[in-house]
Amino acid sequence: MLMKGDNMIKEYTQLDKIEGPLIILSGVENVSYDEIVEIRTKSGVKHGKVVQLYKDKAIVQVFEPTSGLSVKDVSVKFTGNPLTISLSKDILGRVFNGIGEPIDGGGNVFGGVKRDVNGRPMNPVAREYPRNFIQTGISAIDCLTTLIRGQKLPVFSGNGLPHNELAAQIVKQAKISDEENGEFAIVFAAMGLKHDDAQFFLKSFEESGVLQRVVMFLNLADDPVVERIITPRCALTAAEYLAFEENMHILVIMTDMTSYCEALREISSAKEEVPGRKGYPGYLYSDLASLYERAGMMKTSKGSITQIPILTMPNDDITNPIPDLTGYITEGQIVLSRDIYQRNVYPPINILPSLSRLAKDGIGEGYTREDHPGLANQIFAAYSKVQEVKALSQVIGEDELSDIDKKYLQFGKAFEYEFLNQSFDENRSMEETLDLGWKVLSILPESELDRIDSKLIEKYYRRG
Amino acid sequence: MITVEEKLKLFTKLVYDKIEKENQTEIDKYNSEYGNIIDEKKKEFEKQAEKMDSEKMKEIDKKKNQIISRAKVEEQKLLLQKKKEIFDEAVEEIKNYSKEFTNSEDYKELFLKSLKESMEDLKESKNISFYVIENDRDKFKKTIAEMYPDTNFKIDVDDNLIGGFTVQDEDNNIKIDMSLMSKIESSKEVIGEKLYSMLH
Repeated sequence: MLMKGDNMIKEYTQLDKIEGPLIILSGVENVSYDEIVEIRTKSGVKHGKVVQLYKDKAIVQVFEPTSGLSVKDVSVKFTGNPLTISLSKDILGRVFNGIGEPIDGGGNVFGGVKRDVNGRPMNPVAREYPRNFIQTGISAIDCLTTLIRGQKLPVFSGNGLPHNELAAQIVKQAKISDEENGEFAIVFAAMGLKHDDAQFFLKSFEESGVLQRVVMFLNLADDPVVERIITPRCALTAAEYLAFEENMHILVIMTDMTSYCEALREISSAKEEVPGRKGYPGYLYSDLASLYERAGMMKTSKGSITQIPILTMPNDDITNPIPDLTGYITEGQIVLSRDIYQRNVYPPINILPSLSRLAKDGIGEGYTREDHPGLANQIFAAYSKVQEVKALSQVIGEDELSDIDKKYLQFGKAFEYEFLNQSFDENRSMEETLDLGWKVLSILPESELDRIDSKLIEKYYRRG
Repeated sequence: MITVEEKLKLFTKLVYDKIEKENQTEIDKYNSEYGNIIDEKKKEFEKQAEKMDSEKMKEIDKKKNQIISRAKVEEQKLLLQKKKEIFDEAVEEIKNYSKEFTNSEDYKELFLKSLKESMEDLKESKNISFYVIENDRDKFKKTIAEMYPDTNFKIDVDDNLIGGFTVQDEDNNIKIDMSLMSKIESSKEVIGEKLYSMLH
């Protein structure tokens, strides 16, 4: 019997059926699940992977469109290997498509290692607890929802909100402590991205001088949906290689996870699987977990993988299955608000539902600055009070508010327009952010600051 | 006796002194008020100048980074393009070499060995199609007929194969590709690795 991997590989020249992105063929031998398939047609070679096996039948998911494909005049070859990508440090600065093929005209990556894009599950015992922070240069994130190395912190956005700008700004500005900054890189995975958005990302990375430390995986809106399912896996495989074999600190930005989930729904429906909530497959949770859980730090390596998945909530509904299930797996979230955006504030981060669950372990003395935890707590509390005062002022009118309530309103405005608001090119250091936090907080009387140590108030509060 | 002139002189002095004192107070008052304003304005302008200065410096840094970055990106692109060109040339050379190889005795040996291997897997098949290059059709037609007398086969030409053959079992829709072209295609990874390790 012939084995794959020998010089001779059998090809099958007839399909039973073509159904959407799936092809079905029978009489196959020695085929395994997840194996990559080459489909030769008169118009060129397409790729796919085995998604289901039953007796001598195989169902193959084709990565490219199946339109124009005939059940005859094809030749299907099972390669014997799962989808692998070639990796070396040379991938930095390169642009790949959704299945890891170079699209920047620079040719293939040779001389590295080959890794299966499905990854290997991280041994829970080998995991290291995330510590220390990544500076994004964006005050609302750095001060209030601090990103910790090894964390997975999603951005919940909505259609038309500036999440792409936010993602580009994070890529441009993100840094870790100066002594380790040379070992910091970004893996950027885009799923279902429009051509103009792809150009925007490429241009802004080129202009800001960060392209050299970014690896891009681009699946465009008109690329096949099946490819979209592979894109984050390719990106995370590249991130794992750089983090755990090259000891680098890697920030993975994945946008838009909603496009990914919709592709999953489309494929699931084509496979005639039983649909779950809103038509998404029942395994959406475990599928998302198989991506998000690839973030973290390992005891055996100096590197780390930090994830910022970006998702757009359909109808701004946070109870939609995608943000809902994402929230179960990740360690907090950054929520963008349409209300704040309409007040012309960028980035429109609503800090009240936003949270970084690991922030407490990577801020304060030894990491950022001694006053950081207290300051962040106090800003949260004060901004929450602002919402109550705003509601009250809508009932009784602003003039009828007490002096202290008027101070809160003043604080609210200053917080949104001075602290939250910053330009796309403005990169604030942690020191600047914390000082700005004290500036806006000092609008309130000292007696209102009940969540900060008195010694710190003495040191940082601005009187007069 | 005090004369009127002297009285006038005295009063004049008193009035002048009083007015001078009042003026001095006014002058002092204005000096302190406007002096402060001038100082404040001076400080404010200095602050603004510093801010503008640092903003300009940031802008200059940004522009500098953009220019350096573009140059670096361009440099990397050129380097990658050159490497790709060399790789494509190498593959083309191998294809040319393979074409020449089809005239050698070693090729004949390889062809027959591959034929035996593939027919071993298709021994149950009765209807078989071969695709070979033009040169090989006449060269191997007789040999194949002699080796497999019980099999119905036809031979067609496909010069894209460079050398070797593809064989198709018409009854079971199975094809085996033993062409030199497919061997080169599947060896591209190895070729690339060897070439790039020499280029580094």
